[in-house]
Amino acid sequence: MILVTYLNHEYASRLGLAGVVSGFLILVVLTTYYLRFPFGLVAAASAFLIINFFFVEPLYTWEVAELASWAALVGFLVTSIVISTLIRKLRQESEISDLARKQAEFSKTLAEEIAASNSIESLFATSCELIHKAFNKPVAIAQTKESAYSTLHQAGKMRSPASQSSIIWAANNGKMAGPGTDNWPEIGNWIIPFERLPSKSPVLLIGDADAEGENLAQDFRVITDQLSTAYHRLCNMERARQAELRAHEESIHNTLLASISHDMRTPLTGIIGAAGTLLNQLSTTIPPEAKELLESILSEAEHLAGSTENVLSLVHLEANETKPIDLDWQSPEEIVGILMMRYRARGLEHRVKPEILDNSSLIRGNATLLTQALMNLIENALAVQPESSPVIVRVHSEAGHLNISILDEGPGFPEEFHTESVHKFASYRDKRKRGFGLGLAIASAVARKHHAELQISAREPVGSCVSLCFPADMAKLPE
Amino acid sequence: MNTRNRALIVEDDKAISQFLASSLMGLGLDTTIAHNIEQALQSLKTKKPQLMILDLELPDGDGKDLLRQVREYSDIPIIVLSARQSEQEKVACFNLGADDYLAKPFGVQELLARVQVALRHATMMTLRDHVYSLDGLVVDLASNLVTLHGEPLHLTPLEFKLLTALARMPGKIFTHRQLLMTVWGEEYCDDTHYLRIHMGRLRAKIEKNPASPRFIVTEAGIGYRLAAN
Repeated sequence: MILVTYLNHEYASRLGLAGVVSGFLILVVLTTYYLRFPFGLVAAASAFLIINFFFVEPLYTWEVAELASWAALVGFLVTSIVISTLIRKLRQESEISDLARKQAEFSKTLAEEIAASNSIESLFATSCELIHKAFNKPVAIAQTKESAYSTLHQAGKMRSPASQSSIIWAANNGKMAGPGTDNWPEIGNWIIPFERLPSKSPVLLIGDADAEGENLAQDFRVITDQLSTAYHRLCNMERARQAELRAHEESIHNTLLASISHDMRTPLTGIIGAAGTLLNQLSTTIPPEAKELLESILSEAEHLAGSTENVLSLVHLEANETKPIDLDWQSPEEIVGILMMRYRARGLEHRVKPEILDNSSLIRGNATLLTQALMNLIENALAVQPESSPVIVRVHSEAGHLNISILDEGPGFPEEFHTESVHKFASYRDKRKRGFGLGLAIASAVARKHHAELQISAREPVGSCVSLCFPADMAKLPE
Repeated sequence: MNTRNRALIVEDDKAISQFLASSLMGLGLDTTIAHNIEQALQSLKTKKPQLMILDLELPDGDGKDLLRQVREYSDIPIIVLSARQSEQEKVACFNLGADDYLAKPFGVQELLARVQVALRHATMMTLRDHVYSLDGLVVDLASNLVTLHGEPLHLTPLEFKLLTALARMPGKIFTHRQLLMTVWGEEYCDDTHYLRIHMGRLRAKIEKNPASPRFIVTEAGIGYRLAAN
């Protein structure tokens, strides 16, 4: 202003009043453009007074001699104010346009980075950094769990971190909190849950929130929606990947198991077959000791075959723990019939007595697995049962449930024993019994596959009752 | 002229094929051993066997493929041997036309019993009607008469159809699907509960103790067979 005044004063005679006014007008325009509007107004008023004092007759006084000079001064003032106002509007529109461009660029970058994220960790890291950079505010993503939360990623330092209760509240209610919202507008953060409904999904935390920035609340909600969509996409991808991995692992297990099964069953078939053939063909011509040896080979090989089948079954059941089995309608009486035929073939029919108290109910089950589970339970019972009386296999219904129970008169299970703690390779009753101690483990695994329960109770005065208890919905015939 | 039946043993394991041959010779059968599918197809052409014992795991392919090929032109009894024990595998073999299935490891006596049943079926196939008789149960397919210890049995039409379907080939396993299709029709072939219920009722009429049956044998997960003599 001083420089313009000096230059105008020096060259006033050459410039004339119009030139002087033009010089000051340029000064006011530049002041308004590069500084704020109020500075422009001050510059216009100052220029008005300076022109009057230095360049309008009588000079160096505040008086104005001629009407034309008044008109020139007022015209200058009005023109300065109008131009300053227009420049202010232009500047505002330019700023809005600049902001919109920046927002569009941010949205585009965010969308691109989100789309490029191939893991939840990278999604959170990238988005936190981008939001932090674009809004110059600290950003964090947190995960709530019951009454606590943990920060998954953070960009920038939170000067006043959001309270745990407000974060839990926002996540549990699916509602946004902070300035510009109906919930806790006074807090210094925005808390935006990924889900608009109550959920356990993450929440976005933006720090340094103030009342002035309350119009940003809606922008942050939109950004969080974008993040939420990407988060769910990645969660689904992760679930699909895990399922694929599980299926692949199960496939490898099953291929390996099939190979092991083949390699174990084939030599056993050779031993059992060769010993059986020799016994058939030579039993009348070889010495009794040789015959006994052959019978011993056959018996031991058959025992080993039974144990091998149990091991393979249990490995198969455990490898396919999550995989449903093929279920079909089964008659419990028929299942017991299969078992009885096996004991008849072994000459042990007298040691097992079927008691069918319900011969009309059917259950959804897998006959092979059920037969194997019950066979193991009967074998366990036979190992402790006195020779004088048979083990009882009872089929009965109770309150809609169907039970297949094995009842023996042997020593009961230890008091501390519980069916939930059935271990492999453990003999709970007969410590001298041969075998791998897999019977209860197999029965328990088969029960789980059938949504049934393995129950064990004591009998009076002595003995145990081990039951497979099928729920009512497994014993309901189709309409 | 040699009138002995010949069995073709298709098995890649030498120890198993050796005892199979020895056991079958004890039963009065001549034997031919093939260690792979190619040899088996060649032997089928040149040796004209009356029975085939077929292992599923063969070095040049799956035994099921051979089973499928053979069934395109031959009705000879085929007994499948396999270390695979899944129900689906067994049912698949029966659906392809296997007469029996023995899971490894198996006993020689069991194998020989199954071989005898299979050979009997082969001769019965030429007879249109016959009489099944075991432990007092008589099923006369020609006169549609069922008696138990000389007394006529009153069976419902469904029970009669079930029993006669099994009695036409005693000892042969009929899958659930085969029985449902034969007795109820194609549209009922997945309704196994019908089969369970009616089989239970039939057993109640013919068996002394249905929970320890002597006539109708259940093959877990596969189907039923009528006990052979």
